[in-house]
Amino acid sequence: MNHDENRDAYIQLGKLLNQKHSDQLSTQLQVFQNALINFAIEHGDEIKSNSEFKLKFTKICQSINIDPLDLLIYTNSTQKKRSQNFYIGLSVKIIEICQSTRDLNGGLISLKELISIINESEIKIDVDKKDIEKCLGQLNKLGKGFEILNINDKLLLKFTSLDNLSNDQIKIYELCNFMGGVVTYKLLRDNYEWDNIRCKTVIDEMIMNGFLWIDQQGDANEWQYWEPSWISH
Amino acid sequence: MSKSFEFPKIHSFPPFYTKQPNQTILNQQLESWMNIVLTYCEFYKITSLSIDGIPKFKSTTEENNALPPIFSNDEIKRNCNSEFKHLILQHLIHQHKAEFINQKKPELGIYIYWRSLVGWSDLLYQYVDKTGQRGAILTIYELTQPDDSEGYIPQELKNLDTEFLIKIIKEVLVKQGKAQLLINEDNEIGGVKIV
Repeated sequence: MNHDENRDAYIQLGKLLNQKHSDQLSTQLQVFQNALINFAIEHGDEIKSNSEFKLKFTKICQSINIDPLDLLIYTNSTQKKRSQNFYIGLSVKIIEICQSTRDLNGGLISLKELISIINESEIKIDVDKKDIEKCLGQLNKLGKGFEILNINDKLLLKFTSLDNLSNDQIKIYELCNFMGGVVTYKLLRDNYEWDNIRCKTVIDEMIMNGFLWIDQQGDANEWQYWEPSWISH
Repeated sequence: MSKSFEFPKIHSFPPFYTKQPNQTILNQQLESWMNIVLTYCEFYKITSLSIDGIPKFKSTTEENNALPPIFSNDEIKRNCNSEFKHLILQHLIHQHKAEFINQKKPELGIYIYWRSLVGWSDLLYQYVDKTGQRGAILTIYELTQPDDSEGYIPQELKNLDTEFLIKIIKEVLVKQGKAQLLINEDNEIGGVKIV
């Protein structure tokens, strides 16, 4: 075997060892995460009652990439009847997601997207529409800020403190739904017989609120306007 | 490298290629573009781009045309015009994630810092320290070329752009007093001593 072949063989071996090592580590991490979750379920009361213990436990969670909030939601979701703490935790989670996506979607998120983001977290939490609705009911006791809109059977959660969507704005979202997420002036004229001024007023307002994105490359003759919830489709 | 870079979903959103008029949305859009440029360059080990976003220097051997383009998406037939590309790169520069290769000649392209200069200099310093080469005079060639049969040079430093390496040494290690550059009679950098 010449020098080059020798070296290649060593490199291959090295790669293999590295791969094995990293596989082992991620299995270990997984095991540890599971152990921590079980621990949290078993000793939930002690963690809650002892603030020093609680602080240390939270630090451990963060060091192995578990969001303590997810853990709280998870440990409270395992009982048959979901507890009050489950809904409080989930409500906080909803607010977090709404805030972090606000600049992309202008404060209007589809319920489907919201649920899929919640289910994507490190610990698998199964939530459905009913859970979300219950949380929103609680949140709205603190002051009205969240509202579920039904536009053509597509459910959207509106969480800005902006004024209500106008009828024209809702009609644009309706048309977006039919057209795969996009509208143009022409489509609005053809479907609703709106004149250009009406189209411009509504669309410009929706752009300023972040409810629509402009696309100048869709069609040679006309700009297109896209609803941002398309991003997560 | 067999796997190609996986773009995030937003890279397939048609209006992502048009500069948005709403300032809040535009900031978010530029932020998303910045993340794409950084993760893309890190994936392909690209350390500099032309001002039109074409990889200038990378330490992997792949051909440029084998890489998926950053600023266009053929599937949805969209691409950023050069004005928008420059705005995105300008955003990276503002966020200290990129820098013109030559401030006076922007057309030469920009360095992309998915790893900071300090991060790079740490790698280099650790390597020299670990291999007992502190105080020895090393050529620039020695520091980056892959034909070290012992395999001591960390993968990250192999084939690194020499201009870039000199910048790391000059702007971090020399300033920290950890390195000296030796100039030969032709006024070129002949070697470096890391102490």
